[in-house]
Amino acid sequence: MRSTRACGSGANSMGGSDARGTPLVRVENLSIRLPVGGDRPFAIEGISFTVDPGEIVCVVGESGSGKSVAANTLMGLLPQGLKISSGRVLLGDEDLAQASAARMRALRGREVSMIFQEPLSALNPLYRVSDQITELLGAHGAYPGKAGRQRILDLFGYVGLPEPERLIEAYPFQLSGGQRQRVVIAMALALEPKLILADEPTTALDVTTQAQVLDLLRKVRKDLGTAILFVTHDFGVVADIADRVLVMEKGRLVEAGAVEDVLRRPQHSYTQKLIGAVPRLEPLDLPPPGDEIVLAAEGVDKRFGTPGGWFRKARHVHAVAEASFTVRRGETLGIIGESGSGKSTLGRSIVRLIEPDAGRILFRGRDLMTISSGSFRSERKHLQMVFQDPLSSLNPRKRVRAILTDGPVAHGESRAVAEVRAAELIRLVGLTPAALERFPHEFSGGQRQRIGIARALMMEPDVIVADEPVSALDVSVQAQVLELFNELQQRLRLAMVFITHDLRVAAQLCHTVAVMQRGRIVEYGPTASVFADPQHAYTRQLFAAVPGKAFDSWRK
Amino acid sequence: MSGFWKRYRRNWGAVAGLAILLFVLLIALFAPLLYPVSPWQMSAPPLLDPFENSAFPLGTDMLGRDIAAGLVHGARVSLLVGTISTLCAVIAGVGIGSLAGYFGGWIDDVLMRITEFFQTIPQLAMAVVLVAIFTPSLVSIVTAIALVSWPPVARLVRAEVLSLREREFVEAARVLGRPTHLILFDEILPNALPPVIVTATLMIATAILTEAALSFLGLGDRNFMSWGFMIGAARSMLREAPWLSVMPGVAILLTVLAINLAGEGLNDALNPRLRQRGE
Repeated sequence: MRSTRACGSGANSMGGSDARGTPLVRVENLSIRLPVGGDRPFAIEGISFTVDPGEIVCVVGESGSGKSVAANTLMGLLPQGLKISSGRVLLGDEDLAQASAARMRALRGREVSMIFQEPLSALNPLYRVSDQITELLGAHGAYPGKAGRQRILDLFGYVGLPEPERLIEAYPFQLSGGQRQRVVIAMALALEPKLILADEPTTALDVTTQAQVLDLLRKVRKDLGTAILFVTHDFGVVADIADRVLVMEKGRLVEAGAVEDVLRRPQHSYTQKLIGAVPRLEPLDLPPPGDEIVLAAEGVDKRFGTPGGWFRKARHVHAVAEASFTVRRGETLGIIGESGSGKSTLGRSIVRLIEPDAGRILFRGRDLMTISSGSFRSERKHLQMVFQDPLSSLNPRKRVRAILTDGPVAHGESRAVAEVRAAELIRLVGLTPAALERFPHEFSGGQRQRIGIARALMMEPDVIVADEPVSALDVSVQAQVLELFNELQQRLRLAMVFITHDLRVAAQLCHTVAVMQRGRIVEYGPTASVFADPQHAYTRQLFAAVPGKAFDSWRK
Repeated sequence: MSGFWKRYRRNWGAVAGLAILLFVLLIALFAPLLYPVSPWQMSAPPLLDPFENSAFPLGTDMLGRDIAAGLVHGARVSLLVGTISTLCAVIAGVGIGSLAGYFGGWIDDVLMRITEFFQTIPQLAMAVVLVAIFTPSLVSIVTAIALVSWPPVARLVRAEVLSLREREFVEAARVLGRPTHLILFDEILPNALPPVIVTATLMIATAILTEAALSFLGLGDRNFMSWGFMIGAARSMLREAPWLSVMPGVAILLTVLAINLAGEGLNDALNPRLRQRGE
């Protein structure tokens, strides 16, 4: 195993190439300056690394670490305002930092190609997917005429798209997320480049699709010998796919080495912190919940549909089908599912942001569905919600003080009393009272989510529904927020419904879990037993797709 | 606020626009002090050339009325009509647009059909008809201009509200149990206002032009001198005394230009993110 490792000391060559033939890419002492007034002088500062032919190198880091900038440099795709201030980016013997725009165009696609994070925005919605690949082939004068179509069919077959003959006529919107990402990969492979840059290529995908795409990338590397520079924030993915890892922090390369070395024995304190923050897949021992059933759902059902008209067929989606569960005081129920499973619809039905079509939602034995929406407004305070996107869930034009106190005031509390509690709660969630005077944009993502939690707590609720509250956060921040949830629940004995797609997160927090697939709860039981012995085939499939199982065994 | 001014200042055109606008505003405010005599008064020999007589620096028209006095007093009418009619149009447009956008369904359908009804009739033609029906006066002119200019505001606000009401902070307000009127006016509308403010600025310019056009057609308020009237009255003398039309024309041009520049600067300053992309 390659294990050339060096740490820390400024501009150093990490992952050297001796005894391994000539590296494909050599980045030497590369610095990219940020525009004046940024939060630091350099986007990336003095980084050096190599990528060998046929090697998968992962660049890991939190948001703002400069990991995407590092990858984009190889493609000549630096955002406006960023310029290479020193260093060399060698592809073979050619310095890409000095290459002309025309030369970069010739290289892109043929020598280096890219897989983007969001396949929907990487594909032009107005063109058939095959046209977009044809355009690429045409731009490089490859596979002229009939050969082009055959090449696309071959590529589609290779990346595992079903019925290539049919999909070659498809527009991006007609494909699923996973199929789109396969198209993007097919496009990246079209001219068999030596290097593929993949910028968070699985982050927007569901976990089962992610596992398939990772398999595909491994196959590409094995069959074609393509080197892949893989940017990600997810250590599970790193463990599954990488040969070597580069860890970046605030524009600097802090650690590099073979994947097993770095993940098993991280040297740099930042790497240790990051790896320590990745939640484990085993359920945590949580204090037992109380006996009182605070919230119960019975046969909740919701269909979405557009009625038919003159020119369109009626469409119906059964978003939630007869979902039932109970939550006791001090208990957390995890609702787990992939996108489109109906987990958010179910969560929103509980707080009546969505009106279910049928079923009962019992809060302390009282059916909330039979109360008119007018008188429900006063019941609302008992059922609160924490949202996914901490930025969009806070009104950008209000100070935190108003964000926290508006709710209680709407229920007749005096502003002065509410402000006293706001000052207490802002401390409870780990911020200083000075935060009350500031606007949401002045906070980091994790701090904003703390404000969102404080806002829910201001109502002194019995039930909190949290819809993916940590999925937009960096892993180290995620760990802190999860800890906050655990601590608050123990202190306030809240009943919580925690919606997540991430089994690792669920393991940290949930007493019971309900796994949803296409609107139905397919498995429901105590976390420990579901994790130890999943019964339903879909649950087993979910567990099989969780990235980084090797990583978990290394950590034991 | 200081950040806002800093961003505004970066656009020199906007600063120039604001300066011209302030100048026009000051002239309008102090018109009675600068020219205490009515601008309708025949105070000098007719058709004095500009700079011929230092008492009448911009000359006189065919009836011997002072052009400078006309311009100064005309500024009052232009700005008054422009701002008040825009204010009325914005209030109506924001109200209708936010109700349509927030409640959707049949309320949206009804309000938007009404909006489209107003939008399909050419603005000036409708203003002319309205003023002719109500007999020309400042009130009828302001009403007419407001009536023809609210639909774009309504559509803009509706679009903003439509996208804002799906945001999580609005859902959060509903979960907190805030009443509907507060969700609409306290949570959503403040976020929808920046583009409305910019549109309103540009509407003032259009309103000034509409008022000038109405006066030119003889549908102005005869109690007040206005730039449009001056151009209209002088059009028969276009060959003999072109300055009679040119002076008020330049005044309209400068004012409208200034407002447009200021509006654009406002747009850049209120939407800093859009601005950065352009640079």
